[in-house]
Amino acid sequence: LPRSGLSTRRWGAEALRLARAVALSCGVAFSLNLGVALADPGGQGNHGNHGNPHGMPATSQAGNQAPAPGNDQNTGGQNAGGQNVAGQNVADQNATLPTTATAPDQAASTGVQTSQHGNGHAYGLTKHAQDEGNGPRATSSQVAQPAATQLPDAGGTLSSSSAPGTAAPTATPIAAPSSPTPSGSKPAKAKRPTRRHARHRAPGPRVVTGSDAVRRARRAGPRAARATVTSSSRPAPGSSFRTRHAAPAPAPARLPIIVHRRPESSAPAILPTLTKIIGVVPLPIRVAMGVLVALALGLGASSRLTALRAGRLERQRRQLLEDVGLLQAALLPVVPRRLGQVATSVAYRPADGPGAGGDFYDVFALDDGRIAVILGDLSGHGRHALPHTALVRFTLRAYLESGLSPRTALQNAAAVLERQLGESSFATVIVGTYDPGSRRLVYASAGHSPPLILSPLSLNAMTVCCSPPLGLAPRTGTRQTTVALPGSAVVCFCTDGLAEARTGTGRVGMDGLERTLAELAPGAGAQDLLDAIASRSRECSDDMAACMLRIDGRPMQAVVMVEEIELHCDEAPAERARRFLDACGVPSAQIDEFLSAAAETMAGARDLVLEVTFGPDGPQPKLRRPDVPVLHPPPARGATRLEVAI
Amino acid sequence: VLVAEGELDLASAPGLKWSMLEAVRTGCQELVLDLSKVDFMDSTALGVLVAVGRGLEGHRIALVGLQPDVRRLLAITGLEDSFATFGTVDEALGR
Repeated sequence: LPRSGLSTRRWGAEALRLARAVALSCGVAFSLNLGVALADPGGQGNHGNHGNPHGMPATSQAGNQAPAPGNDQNTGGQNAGGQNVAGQNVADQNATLPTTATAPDQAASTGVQTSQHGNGHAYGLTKHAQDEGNGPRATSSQVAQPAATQLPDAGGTLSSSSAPGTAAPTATPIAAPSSPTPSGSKPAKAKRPTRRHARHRAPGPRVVTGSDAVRRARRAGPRAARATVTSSSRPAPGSSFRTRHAAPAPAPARLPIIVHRRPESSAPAILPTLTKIIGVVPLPIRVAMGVLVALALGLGASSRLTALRAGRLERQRRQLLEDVGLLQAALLPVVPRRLGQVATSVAYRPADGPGAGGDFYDVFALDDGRIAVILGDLSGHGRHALPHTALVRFTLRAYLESGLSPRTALQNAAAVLERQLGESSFATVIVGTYDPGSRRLVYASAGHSPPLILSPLSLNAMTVCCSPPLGLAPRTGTRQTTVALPGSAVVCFCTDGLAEARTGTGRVGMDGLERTLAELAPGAGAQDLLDAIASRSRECSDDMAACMLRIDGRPMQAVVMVEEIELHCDEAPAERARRFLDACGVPSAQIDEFLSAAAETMAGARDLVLEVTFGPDGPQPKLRRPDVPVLHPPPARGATRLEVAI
Repeated sequence: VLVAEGELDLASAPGLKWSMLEAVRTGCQELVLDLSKVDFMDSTALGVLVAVGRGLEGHRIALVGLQPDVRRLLAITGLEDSFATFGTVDEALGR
């Protein structure tokens, strides 16, 4: 094709075909081939190198193929080790044109080339001989062998057969009997198309395109071109492919068999097309296309690497979340299903997404038969919250097991934990004990919601003068409530994740939580409550934890027996006492009388406990000294904060 | 005077903290936080208010227009006394 006569549209079409061809057959090795094609204007190097399975230096191949058609033997030899594209056709070409093969200069180049490539893998003519010895694919060597033996320069042949490797032992004895066969002298018979024979004799079709022959002939010179045109101009309807197959040496009439195929039905048809396109593309555009292909390959590799890295990161993230879950599960203890007469159940549900780690609970039996419950929520989530949740839980448990009431346990724990939690972390906690003998529940809160009590009606808790969370204020654990549970009751301690779960219209809320608890089936546990909340909520953005005590008995309403508050001299005790008494329902006249009588006592004491007992005569306030003096740890001289790296 | 809207929870607490600290950084020591359009606040946002309040020299953060849920949270956590509460912004500013 005249290069200067191609229009821009034609170039675009050719480029599209090239892109399609690259997309279909692209690989790293092929990109190397394209590089060869860019270096070799004839484009033949690309075609021949395609069968090179050993990473041969492609440039030497291209250079060798340039001088003469005899070099094409090398192409055929390589195809014997890899794909069957060009070698058979080349051999056939030699058989058709014996004069071409017997040219001394070409023979010499063949021999040199074979010695270069015959390094352990038997390229070139020797490889053909090996093929012959291995089975019916003998035609190649049968054709090639005469071409080689007719060479006047024996050195080329010797170097071919002396190629080390697997070719040498088997090739020589089997190739020898076939060498007298003058296959090259019968070109006319060799070109009789017989598809049936091709299927019958060949282990696999060896296909080459007619365009290859044209291109090769064009490059090889006028004689070769003439011969190729002659061969391809034979009556072969609809054929541009010729396949040459094996034929036993003693039967000359069956030697060369040509099979005509439709070009669309053959997969390697894309390669000649590609080669043809490359052959007519000017060098700068070829370079540009090569750069583009290299860029595309680079981008593809980069994309693949990125995908691999993303997959690895996702696996690591999943692993970390599992680790957090495992650690969280390790911090949440296994609780017995029943402690005495009380059915106990606990449940925990991590937040949707990576937010696990803030909630904690514990339920255990004390030595005196009481059941202790600890439940809390630490600010922050994830692995940073885990050490502190463990610290808070075990500190509180230690104080409870030492016999302290919930309020004093919180109070003492707050003094210790304030330094440990630091300024950026705090915890809302509720601590309770239930005494099965007296059927009394005592609980104290540090910034946490009071427990829900159904018995059978829910009991409204007083939320006045509550204690602040651990870590947010120097003093907490100042309030405590005692509830009598004479009959059956359900006591549920839960974190605020339940009430704050989002529903379709808003949030569950405390009312919705109480309703859900009341609607649970008899005998349902904490897990049922969490499931019910989760089922009616759209999103659980916070952890949910619940501890439930189910107390058997007759249906009798729970009543608050005692509310108490500890007053500190630095916290306006009179004002707090007034507010507290008012919330407890003490008449204002009685409050005034009580406070004026207690003023002297309050002024002289550092800590006092104001206790309101609810009896048949109404609320009765009383001042008393604290049962247990609050521990005041000495000021920290060094950093003793908990530093745990997970 | 800072005006908050919507819900103050785990997601919006960092923004609240940044806004308040920015106000403190520019020299404001008396902050008024209008919560009249905040119908929900969780303990995380409350922790932010306490933390910022600790950084103010001798002043308490004034909270304005507490909605029932916010008021209940302040009551349960016992932090009512940590803040000055007002009905309107004008009351908080002493007008």
